[in-house]
Amino acid sequence: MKSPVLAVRDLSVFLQDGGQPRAVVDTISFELHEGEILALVGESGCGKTKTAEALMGLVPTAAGSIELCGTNLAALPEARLRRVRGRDISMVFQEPLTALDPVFRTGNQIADVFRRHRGLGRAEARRAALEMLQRVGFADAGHVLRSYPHELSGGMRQRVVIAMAMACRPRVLVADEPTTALDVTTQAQVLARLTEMAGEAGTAILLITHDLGIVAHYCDRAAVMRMGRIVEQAGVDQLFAQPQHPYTAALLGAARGNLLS
Amino acid sequence: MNAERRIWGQLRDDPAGLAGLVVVGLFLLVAMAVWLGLIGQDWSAADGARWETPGPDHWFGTNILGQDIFERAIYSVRTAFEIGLVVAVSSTLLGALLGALAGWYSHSWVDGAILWLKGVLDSIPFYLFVAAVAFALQGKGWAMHVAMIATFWTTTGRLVRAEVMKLKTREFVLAARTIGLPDALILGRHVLPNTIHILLVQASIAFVAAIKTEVILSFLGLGVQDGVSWGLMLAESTQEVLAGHFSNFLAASLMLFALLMGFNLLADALQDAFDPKQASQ
Amino acid sequence: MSRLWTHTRIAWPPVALLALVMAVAGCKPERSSEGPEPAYRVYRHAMDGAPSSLDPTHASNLYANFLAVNLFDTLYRYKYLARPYRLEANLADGLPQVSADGLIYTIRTKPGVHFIDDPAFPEGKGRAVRAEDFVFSIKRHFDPATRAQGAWLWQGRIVGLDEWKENGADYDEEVPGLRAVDDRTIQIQLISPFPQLTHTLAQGFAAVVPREAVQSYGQEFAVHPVGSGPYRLLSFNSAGAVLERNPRFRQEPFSLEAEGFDPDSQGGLGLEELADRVPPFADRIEVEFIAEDAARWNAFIAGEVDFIKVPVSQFDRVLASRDPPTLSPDLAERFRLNANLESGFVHTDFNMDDRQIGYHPDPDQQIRNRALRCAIIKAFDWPRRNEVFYYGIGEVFPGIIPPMTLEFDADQDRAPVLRDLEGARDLMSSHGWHAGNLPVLEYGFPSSVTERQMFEQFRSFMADIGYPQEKIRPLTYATYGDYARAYLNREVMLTTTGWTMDYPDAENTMQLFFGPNAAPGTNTANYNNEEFNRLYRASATMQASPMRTAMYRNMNRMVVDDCVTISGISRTLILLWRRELAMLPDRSFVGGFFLRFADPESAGGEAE
Repeated sequence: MKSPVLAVRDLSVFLQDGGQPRAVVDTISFELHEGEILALVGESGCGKTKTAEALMGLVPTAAGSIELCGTNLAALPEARLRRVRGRDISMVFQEPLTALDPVFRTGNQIADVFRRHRGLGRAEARRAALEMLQRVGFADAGHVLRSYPHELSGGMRQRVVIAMAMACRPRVLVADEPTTALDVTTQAQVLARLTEMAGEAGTAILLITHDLGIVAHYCDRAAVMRMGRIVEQAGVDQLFAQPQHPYTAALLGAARGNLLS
Repeated sequence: MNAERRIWGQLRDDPAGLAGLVVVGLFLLVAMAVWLGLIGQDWSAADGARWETPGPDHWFGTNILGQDIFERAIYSVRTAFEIGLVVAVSSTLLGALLGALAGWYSHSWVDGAILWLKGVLDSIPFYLFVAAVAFALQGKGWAMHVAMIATFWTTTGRLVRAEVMKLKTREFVLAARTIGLPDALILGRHVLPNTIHILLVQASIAFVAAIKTEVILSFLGLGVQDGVSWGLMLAESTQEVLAGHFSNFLAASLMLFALLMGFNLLADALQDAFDPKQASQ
Repeated sequence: MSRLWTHTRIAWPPVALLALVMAVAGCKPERSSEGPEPAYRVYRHAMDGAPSSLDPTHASNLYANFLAVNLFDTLYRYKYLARPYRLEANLADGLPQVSADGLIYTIRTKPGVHFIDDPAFPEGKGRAVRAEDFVFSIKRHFDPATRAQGAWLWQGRIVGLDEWKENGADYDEEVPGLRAVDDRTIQIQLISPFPQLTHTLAQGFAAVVPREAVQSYGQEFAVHPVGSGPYRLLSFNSAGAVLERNPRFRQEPFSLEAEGFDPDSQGGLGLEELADRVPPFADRIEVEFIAEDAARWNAFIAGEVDFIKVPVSQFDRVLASRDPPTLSPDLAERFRLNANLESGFVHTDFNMDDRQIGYHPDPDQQIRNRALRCAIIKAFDWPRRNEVFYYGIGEVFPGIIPPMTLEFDADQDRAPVLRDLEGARDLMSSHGWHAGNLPVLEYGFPSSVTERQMFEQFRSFMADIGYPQEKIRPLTYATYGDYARAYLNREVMLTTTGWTMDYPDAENTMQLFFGPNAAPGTNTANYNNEEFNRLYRASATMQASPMRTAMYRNMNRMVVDDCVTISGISRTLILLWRRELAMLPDRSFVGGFFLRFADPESAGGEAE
């Protein structure tokens, strides 16, 4: 097997909670290989989002390493981290409206990525942004380019966010509940587009979700998280067939219950 | 629908705001006309008799020197706008900058230093501070601008700081970080523009405050040094009202009142229109 | 108003007590009216400022001087009614005997003059005033410990006095030029002739104080005056002062003739009835310090004070006519008026030290600069300045010898103060001046409404000869002190100041243009004309004489011809007082000396 594009080892994140530091992510480890889609599953508040933010360097890492293609992001200074972000690793947020700057036209926000990481000029970056929007499936990409976020629908916004995240064909994409805010049909379209583009670019995805349906449908492997720890990690088929951890089983049970009701 | 059209639409449905807009617009036109040298250029000429009553030659009468009070009141519109604009723009920009820095680097030494500065400035009684600056800058016409900018930014700074601390945790700011934008760019392009509703309201408050303060400072002899302003006219009127000459007093105070009233109405309407919560609906 | 009331209440008890004591002792007031009440005569005076100290060595302003000459004695004073002002012996027995070379002055004092009773003296009894007291009082100005403000009057003038200061100011050490020959004889020896010496002895600065009191009260002497003047102090604070007649003051009957009474201009004020009575006429003087114009005026109209210097803002209401100033009929029923022309003048100096407007190394440019100054002077509209700021009752005159001096020439050519726009324009064009090459004039003033209006008026005058508005700039200062610092540093191109004369001798205005007095001295124009300087030096040691007057007028012409200053105007003060009072108040050299002659009782003429 080839070496992983992302290797997380013993990652911990502490929150200052009324003076007493509390581990919200507690010595977790996992690997992500090229083109692979790994699901990070768990209830809300289990530390999924904090894990994502830690990967992006948005919250300080208390301990552990995050190796992206052999470079430990946790040890990088902010200035070098900035060069990695958006180019080698990027992120899709849960709420597409708040993930876009309300006072900026979408085109400019995508163009920013190109200007920043590719050193493109204003016009070139704009052209690249247009192309990106076409690739995420906008027929009238020119119009979207000039739109403000509040003028777009939820699904359209999320596709804009994906366009931003995928602009530089990153090695790793962290997608934090990318479709939770969307209705079911849109969910499918967006996820299909996302996985397709990732496949083309060879991007590995860490898909954070609580929706086991999505896990079953799109992911190769899954890690189950509970109270800051990964309690079980396995291939999706195996996980669904034979959950090892009682919590996984409970989670699956709850999901089935949901489906029945 | 774009933002300009929406704001305009909201304003159109607000008669008070519209009235304010008309009043401020009229004053702005007058200020521009004075600027372009079309009107109000004879404010200095003393070609009337002393204390003439209002009439066809001198609409608002004349002052002690025989200068036309209408010309002086009109020219003062330009003075007021000059001071209002300079102070409003500068103090708001300064407040935005320092507030954003303090908010972005909250609880760091940068924040501490800015908060300390703000605390010091806020603790000095305003007119005492202005007087001190005016004395320090001995007779310089811009002493009052400096004093006002130095003190007016603190409120804006405080509001922007709080807003930035809130914005900092918003996903689009995180998103901007995840695409690798540097702090300065995020602050300048994504954080500050999202405080525009605060900045606009604060700028309009600063504009009004600057005009009022100019009047008080000029009245005290600490304000406008060369030229004429409503404050200087009011100062002049104190020596006249006891003797029964009210033209200076009425002209300056009524025009000041009209402009401030118009501006307050407009500022209220703008505040409603710019509210970002309404923008997302 | 409330201040006045409070003040009166505080002041009454000691007076009542005093009246009681006097009644018990069987001392009846000297003069009683027809009515059944005892004639206790109170005069209430309003002043627009307050002195901070009553010590004569700090009597540097009008207010302090006003009180000092009433609480203390001076060797000389000014005649109550003579105009122009003339000296009169006060504590002195007569005018000084001056040696032929003008260097030695011998002055005898009156016999039997005593200080007021005070605990500072043995057994509390005021002792006789001696010549030695005068010597002590002048020495105090040269004692650094006193922080006195009057030394400039005698600096470099009296033999040995400056050395006395340098040697440590030991009062027991004799000054050769300032001696008490015996108890009643003073001898002053000058370094060079100083004809104005006698005038300096009529100032509050030269008042006589007893050494015992100064030593016993120390710093407190500033609020605890012990003197031999016509009045003694009852109370003093920031709101006012109450004075009471000094019962031991020397008995000198009032003489209309000796005081220079002029029946034509001074008749009908009730002064005639005062003849042969013995001043001080008022038993009690209440001086109210009311800085605010409106408050002072209201107190006066409400009858709370008897006298006021009318604020300029009230001139319109007060005056029925301007030339001569007369009272409006409704006020004339209650009050009398005196138009008091100031001994001084207001003028705007060019800074001759500034090459853009004054002296220039290039003779051609110097000529052009003079032409420009002359054009500016010709463009200045004196009648309008007088009309707007002095209600047309100021007196405009050419040059630097004001009308209230003996040396003033009423027949001189008035052309220099007449507006001549055509002449001004001709002068400018013939010397190559046009809007494009005129220098930027910086006109300095302390920031106040009136000063700013004067500046704007000046600018509008200059607009009439085509001086561009933007080339006449204000140079404002937050306080008068800042302004004075600037022009004493020669930083101001056009300086407007008022000069109030120290004594009624034109020498006092001539020195304003004497080269060596250039800023930081009093010569703010920095004028330096060798011929003028020569004449000044020659005249400075001369006693008043037609020849000296001719020299002064010659110097005056030089200043006018060189176009050094836009000058000038003497302001007219309007003084009002209740009709019932027989008196003629004065704000100039007579100043506080008139108080002893103010009679609140002898209702001169038709009352109410």
